[in-house]
Amino acid sequence: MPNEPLLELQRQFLGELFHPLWGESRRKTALPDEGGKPPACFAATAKRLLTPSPTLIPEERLELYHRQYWFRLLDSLAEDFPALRWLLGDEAFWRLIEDYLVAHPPTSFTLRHLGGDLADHIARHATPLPHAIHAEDLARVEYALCLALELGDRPALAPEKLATDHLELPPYLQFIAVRTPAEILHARALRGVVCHHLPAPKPNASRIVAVYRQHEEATLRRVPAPEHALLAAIDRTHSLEAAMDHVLSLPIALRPKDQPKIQAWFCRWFELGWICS
Amino acid sequence: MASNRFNAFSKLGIGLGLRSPHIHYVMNQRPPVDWFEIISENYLVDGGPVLRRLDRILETYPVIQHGVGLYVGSPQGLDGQHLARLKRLLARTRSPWLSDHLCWGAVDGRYSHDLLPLPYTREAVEVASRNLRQAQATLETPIAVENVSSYAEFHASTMTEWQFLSEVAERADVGILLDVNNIYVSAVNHGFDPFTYLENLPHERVAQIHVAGHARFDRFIIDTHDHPVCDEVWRLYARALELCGPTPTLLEWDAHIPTFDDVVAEAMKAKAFWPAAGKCAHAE
Repeated sequence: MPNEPLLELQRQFLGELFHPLWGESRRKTALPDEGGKPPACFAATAKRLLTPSPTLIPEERLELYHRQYWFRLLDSLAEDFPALRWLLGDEAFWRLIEDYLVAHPPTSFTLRHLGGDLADHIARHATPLPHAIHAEDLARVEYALCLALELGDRPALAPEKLATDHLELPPYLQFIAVRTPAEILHARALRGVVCHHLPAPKPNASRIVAVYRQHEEATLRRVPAPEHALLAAIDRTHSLEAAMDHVLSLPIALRPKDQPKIQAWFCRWFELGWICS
Repeated sequence: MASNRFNAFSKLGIGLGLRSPHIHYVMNQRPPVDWFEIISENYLVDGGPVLRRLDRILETYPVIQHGVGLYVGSPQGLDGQHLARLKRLLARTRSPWLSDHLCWGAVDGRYSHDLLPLPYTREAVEVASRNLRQAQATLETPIAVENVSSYAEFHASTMTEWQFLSEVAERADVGILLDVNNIYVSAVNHGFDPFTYLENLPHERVAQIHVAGHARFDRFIIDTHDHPVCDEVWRLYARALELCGPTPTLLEWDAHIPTFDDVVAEAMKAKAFWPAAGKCAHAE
């Protein structure tokens, strides 16, 4: 009997789990049923590494792990990207997810990070997706929503210290640049609104969506460019005075006469816990 | 009583796995439960509601950390960042001991997200015991290593699973989290006698016991944690208590999770086995 060194045995075993599902295991999932057969190496590896049981041949034993791997990962991504699934429809979604997992085996200890490369994968997708730019934006926003639940907190700043203290934004607050109204599509997806018409993407326009926590839930809203510019300046300079000087020097629609609008932003940011020490 | 250095001389009784459908109920109703076990990796986050809920639970209950991501069977060694995150969580939970599985799950930075079985070889004993010693020293907390359920056995194995588990525990000087459901699942899948497994362990190292349900198919059993505990597993549990004495015991129920009261009722069945075990030689 072969006696593989442990690391080589593990490499061979794990490598077999990354093959796409086939046959009965595949039919138990929502993946498009394309039948398929196991690659020849699968049975060969199983036979080389594993003994038969009283009831299963080595290939069947390895297949139990293979299907568990896929079932677990498919469930996880479907849970994390419901709006993307709504946008693409089941068949295109599951094809994309399978293609993604084949190209990107998990590299994190947690399934929470499994979809971290999905948006970039869509951007590079070899087979054109329906609504590819919308899909990329939604994938980026939905992954940020996952992260918003686990990123760090900072203590809120007392408003009277705004002008004097070191300012920070909370780590859970993420700004996602999109080319489509991803926040609107996301809301429609969650309401289950049928997707008849999608606004055309604006490839050169950057729309900013803030993804954050509120009342212990992950949420999102669009942030207009001037508002984002000021938040980004606070994040960079950590000072109210420096941030204001910076944004007033930018060629955006924000001028000293906009003071009431800026005050309203700060009121909202304090309510949301976005201004921290 | 299996109150020993491997469970920090704990007197804990019957615990439950803390699962998301029940967290708000537990936080708000504070039902009488001896202790909760958490999946460590679910709490390895930088902040947010998950940690705030954990803090609320910790106000009332002892919490034991149970991991699924240490992968002590990896010849490439432990992930230092993972250890550091576990240690930060330990500072929060003050978990008197910590457990993880005698398995592997990642190679070259690619993860299976599964608890994969090891070949029972000298090399695997060396690897697992070295990693466990390192983990225990780094975390400065007693570790109990859990036997996994498995669906495959390797040609390379040169000993039985119970010999392998015993030797790893002895060489690493760690405790054992004895999962009697996993013994049963593997016994059926591989065709060995689960009582022989139980009899041939270092019982003085057993820090904790797991019970759970599984799914039975025509030709194999899958460890699904989605059913009540079956009679055969309760019989193994009774024998484990005879051999080890009453031991902190936890019910795992991870899928198709019923109401909290139903989970408690299933866990409390374990109590029925405790008085008889209290009379055995190993008990206090």
